[in-house]
Amino acid sequence: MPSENLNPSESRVKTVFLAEDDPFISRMYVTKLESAGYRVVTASNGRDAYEIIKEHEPHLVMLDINMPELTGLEVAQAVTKEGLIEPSKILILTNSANPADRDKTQAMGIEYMVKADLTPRDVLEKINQKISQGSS
Amino acid sequence: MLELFEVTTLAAATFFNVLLGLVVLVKNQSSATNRLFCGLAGVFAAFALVNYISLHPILLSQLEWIRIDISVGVLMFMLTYLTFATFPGRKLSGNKTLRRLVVYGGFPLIAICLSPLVFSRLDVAGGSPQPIPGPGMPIFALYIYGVGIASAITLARKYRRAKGRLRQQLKYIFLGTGSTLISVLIFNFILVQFHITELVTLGALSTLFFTGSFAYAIARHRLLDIRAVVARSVAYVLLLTTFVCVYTAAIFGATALLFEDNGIGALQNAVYVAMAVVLAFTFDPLKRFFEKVTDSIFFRDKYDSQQFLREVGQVLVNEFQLERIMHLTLKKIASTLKLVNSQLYVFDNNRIYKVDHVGKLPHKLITAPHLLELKGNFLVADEMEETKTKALMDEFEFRVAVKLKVKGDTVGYMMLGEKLSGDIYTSQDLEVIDILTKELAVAILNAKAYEEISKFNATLQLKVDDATKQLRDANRRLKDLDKAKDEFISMASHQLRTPLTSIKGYLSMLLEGDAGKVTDLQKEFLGYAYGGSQRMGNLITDLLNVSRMSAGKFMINAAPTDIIAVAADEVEQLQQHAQAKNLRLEFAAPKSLPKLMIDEGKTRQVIMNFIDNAIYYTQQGSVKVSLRQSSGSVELRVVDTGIGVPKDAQAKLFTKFYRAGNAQSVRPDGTGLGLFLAKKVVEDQGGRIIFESKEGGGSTFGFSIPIKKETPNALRKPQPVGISS
Repeated sequence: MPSENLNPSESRVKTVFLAEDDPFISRMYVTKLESAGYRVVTASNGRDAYEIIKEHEPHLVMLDINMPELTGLEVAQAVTKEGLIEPSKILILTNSANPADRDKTQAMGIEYMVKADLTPRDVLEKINQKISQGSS
Repeated sequence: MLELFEVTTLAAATFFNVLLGLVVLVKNQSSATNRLFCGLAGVFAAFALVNYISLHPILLSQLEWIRIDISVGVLMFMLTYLTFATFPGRKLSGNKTLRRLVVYGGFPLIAICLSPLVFSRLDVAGGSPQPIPGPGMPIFALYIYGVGIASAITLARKYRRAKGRLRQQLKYIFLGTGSTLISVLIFNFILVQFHITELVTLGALSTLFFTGSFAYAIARHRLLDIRAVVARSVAYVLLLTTFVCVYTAAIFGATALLFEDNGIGALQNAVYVAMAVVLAFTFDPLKRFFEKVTDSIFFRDKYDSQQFLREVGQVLVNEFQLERIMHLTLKKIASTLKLVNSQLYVFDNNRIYKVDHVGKLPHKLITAPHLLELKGNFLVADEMEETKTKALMDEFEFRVAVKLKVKGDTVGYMMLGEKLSGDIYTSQDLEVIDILTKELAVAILNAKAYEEISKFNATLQLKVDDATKQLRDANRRLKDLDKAKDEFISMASHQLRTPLTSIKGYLSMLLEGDAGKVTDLQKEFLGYAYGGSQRMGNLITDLLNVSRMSAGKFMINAAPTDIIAVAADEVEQLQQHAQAKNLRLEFAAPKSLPKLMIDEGKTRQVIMNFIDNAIYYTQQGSVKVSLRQSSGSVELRVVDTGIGVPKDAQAKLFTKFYRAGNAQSVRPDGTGLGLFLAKKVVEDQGGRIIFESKEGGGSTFGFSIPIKKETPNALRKPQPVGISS
């Protein structure tokens, strides 16, 4: 895997999970993250997202809010409740214009980001920061 | 003995005639009938008296007394005719010509009678005086017969037309007066012609027919409305008789039993005193007893006018609803006067507006045109001549009709039917009706006005309610629309952001070389595209913020923020844009500043707007962004060398959707939201906007945000200003 070669300092390849129902946005983040050496697992709906997180136990989870089956917030609630992942290792990445979503996310101790305001590089930097926080 | 009987009867007849006449007169002085009747009774009494004196002459000679007697006879016939023609009216009535003939013919005749023309001398033949007729006798005879016949015809006509009680009354008047007059005619005139003078006394005595007949008609048929007086008189006569009889018997009995010696002793006196005490104490109960008895016989219905008017006045003052005023007043009148039926019509524009009735309904109900045909304001059927109005009243069974008027305007009519007793209306009744109908008319007018105002108020209230409902509906629709607008903006923004994320993301990746090497020119072009996508993102954020503001969802999420980093980032983002316009974009800031408690995203947006505007509205020169700390706050300034803001536009510059004229020509597609939002964001964070400008002389936009004390770095000393790009 070329991504593993790009990050020789890491003994283990870090897995990032991305739940995103828009295939173009999904492909964009996957490309950027993989080029930075991450293993990226994706899902395009809430239910798959929950199953995959449970199965792969990723180091970091990125969730969209408005998705089929289950919303990103419901998935986040379920996986943190089951102790599958820390809230600090979850990123809500959405274009929702509903301020209530932001409030709910922040109340759960999860970071809330607006996709349209960020470039893939901004997102990558945030992920790097979060993962390094966890390992330091 | 015959002499004694004669005198007693004569005295009684005279006394009762005079008494009857006076009672009738006192009862209703204003009525012509009563006055004439009084006169008639007086003349009858006078005739009887003079007749007696003529047989036992004193002061004057017998012939002179006889002449006086026949003069009185003339007066008797004259008054009989007038009474018959007028009865039972309140005003003199009957055929005018005939009346004049009777009156103007009567008085000269009296003069003739007193002269020797009728009876020239007195012969005494066979022990009895014999008056000898003179040349005037035919005139006298003609008058007596003529007036007698005219009276009989007048009364007979009335009798034929009369109904009910009036008919009965007329019958007894006819009987009483007729029999007296005929007796007088026979015994005092006709028989005298044939030299039979022994029966002259009978003529005088015949006046008792008159008295008796009238007394009967008064008691039985309530003639002339004097039952009450007669009843009271009878009660007192009975009372007096009882007292006289019982106490006389008691005293005589006691005296006979106790004091055989007939001497008056102390004990006897004591008994008399005791009797007197008993008399005093029994007087009142006995009086009441007899009054009760006579009341039930005479069916009296007496009421107190003052009390009645007071009670009606109470209704008129206390009530303000038309229906209640009408009904309560009518009820009061009907119950006090004891009427078979009574109706009240309230008019409005010559049409019946409201009707009320108490008691039995008449067989035919009167209509507005009929009411308007009634001639006169206060009509009493019993006092009217046979006119069309009278016919109408008879047809609809009304005895009294009163037009209710206020200042000449007809308010309505009060129509009263017959009394339950069948009595005619007394003068007391009519006076009371006259007073209360005047008050009633005013009260009705007021109640109608009150009703109109109430109706007007109700209509007004309905209109206000309707208008309020319309406003409320309109307001609800507007709120719905506003909500729909907010939802639309929110939804549209979200929908716009998704493709924008891809555009902006892929453009940035191309620029960063994620898809392979790009040439400088490609990089430049991609840079423009990326800048455009960036501005589009900001625009969407502005729209969202405005919509949240109107929905009350605009919130500042304050967190400690490094303002230098934020400003530097924004300057960097727009550097390429400035370069494309050949403008210098400079940034100056101290090495460090205290962290500010602000909403990073929104403040970023404000700074971005300031710089973006500055680049847009500056054709050449520079845009300088600077940060500095000054007395407890941090100031950010964006100074350009652009077109500036005209003076007249400056006041409105920070209002929603406002755009200055010169700005519009430079950039027709601006939203007018940037500065509005900037002011809102800055002020919501406790700061204030910095703005200076001169048209054509560049502008300074910025803000000053206080350093919150809870920020740990707040007390750090300001650092020297350095330049970084």
